[in-house]
Amino acid sequence: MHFGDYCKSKAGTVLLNAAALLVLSVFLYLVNNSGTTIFLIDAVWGLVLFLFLCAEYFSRKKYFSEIMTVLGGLPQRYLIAEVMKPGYRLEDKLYWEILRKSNKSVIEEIHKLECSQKEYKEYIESWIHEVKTPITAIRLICGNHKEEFTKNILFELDGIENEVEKVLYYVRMEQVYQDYLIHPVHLREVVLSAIRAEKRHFIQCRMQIDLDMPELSVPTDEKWAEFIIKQIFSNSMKYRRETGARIKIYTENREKQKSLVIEDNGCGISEEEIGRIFEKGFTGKNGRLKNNNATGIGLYICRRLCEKLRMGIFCESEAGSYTRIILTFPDTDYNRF
Amino acid sequence: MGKRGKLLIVEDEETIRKELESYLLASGYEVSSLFDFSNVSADILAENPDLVLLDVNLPGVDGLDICGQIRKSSQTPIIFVTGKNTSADELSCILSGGDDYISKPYELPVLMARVAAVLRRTLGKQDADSTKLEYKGVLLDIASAQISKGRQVRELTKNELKILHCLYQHPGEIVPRMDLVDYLWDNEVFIDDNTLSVNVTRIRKKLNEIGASDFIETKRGLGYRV
Repeated sequence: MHFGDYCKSKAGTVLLNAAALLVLSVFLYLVNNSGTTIFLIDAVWGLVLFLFLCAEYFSRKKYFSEIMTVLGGLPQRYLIAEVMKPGYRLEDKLYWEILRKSNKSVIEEIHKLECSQKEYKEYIESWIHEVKTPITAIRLICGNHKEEFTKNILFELDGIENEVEKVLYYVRMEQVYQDYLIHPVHLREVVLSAIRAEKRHFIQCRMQIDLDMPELSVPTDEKWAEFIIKQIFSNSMKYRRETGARIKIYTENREKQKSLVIEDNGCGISEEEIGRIFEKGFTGKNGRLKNNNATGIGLYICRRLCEKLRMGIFCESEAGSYTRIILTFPDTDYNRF
Repeated sequence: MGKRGKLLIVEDEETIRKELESYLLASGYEVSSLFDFSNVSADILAENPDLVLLDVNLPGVDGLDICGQIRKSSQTPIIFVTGKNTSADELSCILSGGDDYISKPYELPVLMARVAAVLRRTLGKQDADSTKLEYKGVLLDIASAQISKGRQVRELTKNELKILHCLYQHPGEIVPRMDLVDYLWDNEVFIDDNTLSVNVTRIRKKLNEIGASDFIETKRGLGYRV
């Protein structure tokens, strides 16, 4: 709040006073007062007015800066009416009342949205758990009737499962509460488990796998990490080369970090696009050419999950030759949840 | 194959229960199931199985509570089966006294491996995973990766060993090529169909050298049999 702005807003008062002063001065002059007397009266009037405006300016400035400070420190700014003082002036009180009512309706609206979103998420989660039952049943039926066509069913079932899992993790990554547990995990086991889960696709794609990693303990959540690794595998398979496709999996120690590198020799990502592959909904040239169903959600979920697990996910690639996805794990502090 | 253990399935979903039952029966286990879930812990105790496959979400009752009740009086091994798959769920399963945990939808080989592992721990069974297997006079030594007949011995590579191990587990049966590849992928050998043929050819050569030619039969379009 500047003094100049304040004066401008008080222009009415100043003009009214100036007009009254002019009328008074003319009147005093007409009833034979001396010029000195009139000037003195005018000066005193002006001074009193000026002092009044100054006092009011400072009191207002203090009042508003207090509110601004409170507002700045408030994470939910729509709660301002609950924490600010109503002020002593009638206008302040009225504005406060208006603000409070408007805030209240916003809060109610937000609450309603939160509730419906929560219900929606809970429904999706329970749906996912429901759909796992028939998937399990189909797996068992296929296990009991091993034939060529049940192999094909299992293959398609893997696809369904992968999509269902994606939805599950998409719902989970938005959630405030934690349903993961960061603890020391044997990374090699997680990688093997991810390979096992995707084996039918790997075999189908004639993908060769070079697994060259020692036992390595990293702080993460194995379920989430496995999901992330599976998404990376799934991309490697989608964008593989026709013959001689291979994935190399190895570990590296870079700058106090343990990292897992998953490198394929697929079609790679062009330089303009590489920075955007973790964005939501980004499909890129490869997504449009090679795979019409690319949704651009897989790697986005990976990035968000990595953020939660305090892992890093990076990509290095050269179009037409390789794509290297690097997952980094913090080296220490297992115990910070 | 003798009975490998008595399993009890506690699962409310009928299709899963039936299919799981026949799958486990086919794998050589003795299997029974519960149909009534009003008094599960007492029923389990009365049944006294070697292992319980316990669904966490049963109508009206919580598998975790059941496990807690059982643990008051018995150490019967329990593997939880659940649709939830977070680490927190896993933790609560283990904390309530479960021996292991598997989430739906599970891969059958994984389920079988867990069942076998828990039984091995609790029953002290070794027969399924003995380190030396013998069939038709040919001895497969898993620990030292060797195949021998009489005094003739040949070293095996990791891939060859795993292929033979799989065939030895199904003596006299035709193992389809796809099943063999599947098994190998579950056991850290990531090879395709062609590489499998190459490896089997190498194994045959070694078998010939030790005087066990025709030990592995090829069934065209089907698979291999020892």
